[in-house]
Amino acid sequence: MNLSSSARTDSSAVEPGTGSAALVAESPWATAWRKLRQDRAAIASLIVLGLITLACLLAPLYAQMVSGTDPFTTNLGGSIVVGGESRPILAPSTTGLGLGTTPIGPTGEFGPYLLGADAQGRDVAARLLYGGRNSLFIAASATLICLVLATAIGTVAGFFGGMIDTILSRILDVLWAFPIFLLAISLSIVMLNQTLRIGPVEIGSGSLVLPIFIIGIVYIPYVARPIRGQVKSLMSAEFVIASVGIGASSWRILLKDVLPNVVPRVIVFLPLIMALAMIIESALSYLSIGVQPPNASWGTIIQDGQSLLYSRPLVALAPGIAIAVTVLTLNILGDGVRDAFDPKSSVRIV
Amino acid sequence: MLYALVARLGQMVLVMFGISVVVFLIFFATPGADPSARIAGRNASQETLQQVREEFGLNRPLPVQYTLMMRKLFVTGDLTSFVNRGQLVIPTVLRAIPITLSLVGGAAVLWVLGGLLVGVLAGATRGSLLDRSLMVVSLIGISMPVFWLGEMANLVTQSRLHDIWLFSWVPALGYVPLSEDPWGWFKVLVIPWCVLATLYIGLYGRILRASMIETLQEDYVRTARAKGIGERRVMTRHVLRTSLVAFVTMFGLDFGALVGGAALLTEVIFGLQGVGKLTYDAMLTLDLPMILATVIYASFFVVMANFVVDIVHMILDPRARDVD
Amino acid sequence: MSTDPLLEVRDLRVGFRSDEGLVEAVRGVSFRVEEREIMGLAGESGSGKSQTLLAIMGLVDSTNAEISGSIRFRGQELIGMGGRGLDRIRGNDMAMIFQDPMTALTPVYKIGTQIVEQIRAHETCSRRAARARAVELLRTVGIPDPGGVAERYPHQLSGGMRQRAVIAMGLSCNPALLIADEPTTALDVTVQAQVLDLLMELRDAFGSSLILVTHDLGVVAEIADSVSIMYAGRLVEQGPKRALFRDPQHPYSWGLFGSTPPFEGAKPDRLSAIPGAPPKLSNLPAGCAFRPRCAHAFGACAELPELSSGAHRHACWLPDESRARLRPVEGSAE
Repeated sequence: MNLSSSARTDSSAVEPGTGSAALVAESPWATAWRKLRQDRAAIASLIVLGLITLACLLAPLYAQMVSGTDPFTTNLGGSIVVGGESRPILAPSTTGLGLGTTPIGPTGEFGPYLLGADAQGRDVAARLLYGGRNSLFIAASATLICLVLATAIGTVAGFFGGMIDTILSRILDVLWAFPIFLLAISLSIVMLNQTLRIGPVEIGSGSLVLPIFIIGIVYIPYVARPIRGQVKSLMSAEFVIASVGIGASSWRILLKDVLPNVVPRVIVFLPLIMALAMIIESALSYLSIGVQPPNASWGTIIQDGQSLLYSRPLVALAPGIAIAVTVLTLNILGDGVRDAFDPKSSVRIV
Repeated sequence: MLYALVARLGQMVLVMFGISVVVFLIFFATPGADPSARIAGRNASQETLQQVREEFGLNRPLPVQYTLMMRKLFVTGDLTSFVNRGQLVIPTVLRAIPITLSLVGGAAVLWVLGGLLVGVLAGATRGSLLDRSLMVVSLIGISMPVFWLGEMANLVTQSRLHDIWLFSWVPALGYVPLSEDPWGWFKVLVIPWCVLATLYIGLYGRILRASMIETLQEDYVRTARAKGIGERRVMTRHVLRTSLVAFVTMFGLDFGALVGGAALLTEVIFGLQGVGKLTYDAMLTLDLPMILATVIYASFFVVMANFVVDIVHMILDPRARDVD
Repeated sequence: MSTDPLLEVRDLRVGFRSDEGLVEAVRGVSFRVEEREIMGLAGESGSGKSQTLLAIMGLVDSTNAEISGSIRFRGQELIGMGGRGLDRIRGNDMAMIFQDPMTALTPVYKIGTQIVEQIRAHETCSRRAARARAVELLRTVGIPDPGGVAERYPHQLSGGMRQRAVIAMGLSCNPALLIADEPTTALDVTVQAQVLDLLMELRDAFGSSLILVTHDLGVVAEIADSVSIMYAGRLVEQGPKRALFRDPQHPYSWGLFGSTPPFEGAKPDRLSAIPGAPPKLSNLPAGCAFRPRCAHAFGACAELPELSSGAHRHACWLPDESRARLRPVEGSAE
């Protein structure tokens, strides 16, 4: 039995003379989906998000067909033809102190070096797409880990109460007391400096698993606490007490009474946590403690672009815009999902 | 109420203890490399390593190590950086605090005012064009990574548009102490303030708006209107006052986190040697003693902030005072 | 002595613009309330009684609302009056008590403070004098230790005490008209009786009129002077209490009375219930709204009936001779 079902009355009013107005009961899921479909901003965001994901997935295709260069090898000596003219990819600098080289700027043509080259002569546009894959993948995976673990912890704590709850809550408190950022940094430093060996599995410092794991862990208290709160209040709700009263087993109560009511709130968290994860990943990568070379992510590309900030700003500008747009769509989607699934929630945004 | 306070204080101590244990475990007990190498820094000689082992009791059981470390940090205060030889860690952190405070304090003023303005305007005119525009702008503000925004700000003010009157006064990146040159201090901090505040104005504007909309549905607002006290009083004394509780408690937590070093990206981008930058530099050079000190400082600050926020919450909302 | 009634409502309509068009919650309601009169406004949920009250107080809270008709208070037209004008009357000459005492008071201020706020909004009065008056008011509504209660916060009081405090607040400026929206529904029965007694005493002591909205006929029987019954946004019967209770005229009233067990006489085997359900306001049938559920509906009912004339009025097409015959006998089940 669900707490939040709604009934829509059939518009064909009262049947004359006899029975009651026909009530078309709509399950909460159906209501939510309907509301979401009607939210144009949310749908638009979903589409944009889909396009971005698609573009990033097509990175190898782009690299091969449009860019023609390998975005992961340096290309210091080459030259390309732009607008009929042949230009070197890394030309001696004419600005600033006149030292070093300045990579080629955006060509404006849909071909190699559409957005220019970075300090190592690599095609920025191609790297942008490859980096996007990693950024999106990390954010999505971290979100998944976070939500699964947080729901498990929160539900167990709220469901069993007592000592288990106290212990888990204390752990969550301590974890939460760390400014998220510093926790992520600490874990990153420590883990990135050697190869982790967990049983037969070896996780090198270049692996993406580490950032995923760290970002996933760091947000667990943020989700687990509200879930725990909700489960606790559910446990004292009348329909749950009724289930206990008729002798339902713990598993049954958990699966049929508790979880179905917790799931909407978890769904609301999904886009929001993903937005947060993206931002943290970009920050960690920017500080060189997130994604490690040779892998790229939008954060690492911004770092690449830092030395070129004043001469070739596009290298740092483009990934930032990519992040901003993706996070924006996730936030708008998050608002829409929240309005559709759980309008009374006070889930904090970012 | 007194009982609740004492209980919170006790809880706070417990949490701080827990944090110190966690930090210790992260840096001393993670499986892998030799902790002494991590403390001594890279390229340390054998003698240094031996010395480190002695000092930190790395041959002895973990609880002893923990006690020794805590003593060095708090009691004797002689924890030194092994990377910058002989640099005492604690005084360095203390010197960095005013810088972080200047940055976060100024940004906080901006974001509180901005957040209030956005939240009240949007909440009171819900559904209007003003409301929707403010919300879109807020969303954009939240979605930009702060470090990237800072870089873009630098690009514009230091390079591209530096020559026009609007930005020609922007000094080079770095910090100028207030005591030395108030005007210089101000000039150096204005752009960082704006960058840091952007994210938070967006965030707090949205939170206040949601809070106000929720409060406007409450029965007691209708009662207040029925009393004939005037719409303005209803809005300020009944709606805003109750909506502010969430705003204020969240502000306390964010402020605490930022002063604790969460503003590190902004500090790095703008060359301000605050606690955050200290953490970052220590991290790049793997200066473990410094990292230990800054992370523990940051966490303690957050816990303190939590505590203060709880007290303020109790003051602002009488319902919170009688909770067991 | 003026012959103007204290409150005169004429053809009040309250509608809300929605995706389904204009949904009217109140569809042409008219009534008068005299000085010192207690009027009971009865009806089920969705009949529009709460919206009627909110319209009188100018508290219909929606940008999609459309209000028309006339509401005259002491001769002054309230519809169209701006916020400022309404604020002078609200809380001062006309006060409202809401249904749920648990949520009616602002949680962050003390009881005394909230009453003082209302007093000082309408009268020039020192803070101390206002506070003394607040304490006195709390005493009048039967709150023990009024001084202590004035220093407490709403969450520290029980439901019954809160409701009394809300009543005290409503009376703080001696309103000529008190409007109560189901003031006892959220309270237990024993407290209900006390609050009703209180309201009657206050009419005697303060001379204020009272409009009492309820779905409970027992409450109406207890304290009302006149009764109005609403169904689907319109008045279906109206008249002095005795007359109406002794001789209900509208089939809906018959249904209402038939579904409550009688105090005296033989108890029926089953309580009769009115078949069907209240109609959805966005999709009302043409003509009399009660028609689909009325056992006596006939051809004329396709047209909307108006209230008849006289002291005891009804809105029904049944000819009077048939009416007396068709009315169910007391105590028998249908």
